[in-house]
Amino acid sequence: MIATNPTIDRITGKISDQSLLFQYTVKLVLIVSFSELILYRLVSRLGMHLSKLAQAHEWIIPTFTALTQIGQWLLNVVAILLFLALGVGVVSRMAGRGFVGTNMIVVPCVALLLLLTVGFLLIPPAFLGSAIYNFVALVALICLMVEYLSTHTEWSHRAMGITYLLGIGGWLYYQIVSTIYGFIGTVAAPPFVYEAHRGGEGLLVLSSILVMWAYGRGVSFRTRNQRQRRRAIWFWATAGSVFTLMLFLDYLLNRYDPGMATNIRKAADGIGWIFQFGMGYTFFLPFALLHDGLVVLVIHGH
Amino acid sequence: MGRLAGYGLGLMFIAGYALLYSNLTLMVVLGAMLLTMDRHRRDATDSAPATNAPMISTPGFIGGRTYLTDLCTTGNRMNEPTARRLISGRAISGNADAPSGFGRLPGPFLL
Repeated sequence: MIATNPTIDRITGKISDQSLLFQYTVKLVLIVSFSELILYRLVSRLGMHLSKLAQAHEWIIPTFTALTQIGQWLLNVVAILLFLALGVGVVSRMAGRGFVGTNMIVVPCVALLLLLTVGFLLIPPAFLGSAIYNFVALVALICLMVEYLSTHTEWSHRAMGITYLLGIGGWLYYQIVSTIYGFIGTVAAPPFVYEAHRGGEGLLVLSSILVMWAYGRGVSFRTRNQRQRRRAIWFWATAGSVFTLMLFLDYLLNRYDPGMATNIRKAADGIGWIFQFGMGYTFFLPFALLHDGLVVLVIHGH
Repeated sequence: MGRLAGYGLGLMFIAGYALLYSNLTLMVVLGAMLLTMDRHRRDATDSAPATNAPMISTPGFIGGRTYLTDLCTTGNRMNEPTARRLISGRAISGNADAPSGFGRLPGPFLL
């Protein structure tokens, strides 16, 4: 009779396992892309909706123009850093595992994506080039997600991975099929593009919620680690208090000063509206969850 | 979760809501690549079953004991300084969690 050997799971996804170049490139990509998201994709749209206010305050237009230009510059920096990170990542994968398994598809696909990106800087992509680019990206993502699903057997991880892939897949399907129909020049509507687009957006929202289930265990009470439990108590007590306060904030402010309550309500409506139009529902709806996730990552990252 | 997976998830969701630019597509691919680097490896914690136990110590063993990582993660054997003294820095020199050191273990202990 062979007894089962008690085991524990060791995590090998530490960034310190990677080369210094890769570590710092990935960190920079994350910081710069987040700054670009705020400055280019959010603030620039915010500026467009402040025309009335800009007539009264002269500083608004130059400030927003400068911030948008910084964001645009960061967009280019992200692109360069992405080239570096993907290049080093592919070399690292090849050195670690060789040209076997999913690497046989992932590595050529990533290399082709990088080549196409450079090529499109010289020759603008037409319909066909754009369709090929999106198709190659979809193949690479499918392979990477298959690899992820094969190494992660927990349902929470798999549910998150599948919904994310289907979400991104919906958007890429919409892009590929619409572009091909445009290339062919047919007037017929492409099949299921609208459904794929909207469904994909919904699945991305679902995935961003499922990611909390999959990776948000750092704030679970079900742990024997005293330090972790204390952090969880602080986290949930603060989150619960803020959430409850926000529910009754309008009522309380109205009792204190109705004028101030009206102003704050208008400002909140404006911010919500700008977020919806600036970033779409995919980012807007689970924003609080994503924010919580960021806090969890920062506090409990190891 | 490894920090790489956290960075990967961050990139995937920063870029994923609308792949309007080619760099956002590349960002999603990089994010997914980082996410796949987060792997769980099953390592032996307690003594191996008698049927699998080696009769003679291998270079990975000092006085019949297991490696530093094994000694320190079980929580019921000994603390890290004691383990280091026993191992004397030959098997695993610095980082107790270094997978490269652990990866060089002989056959029966590679799980």
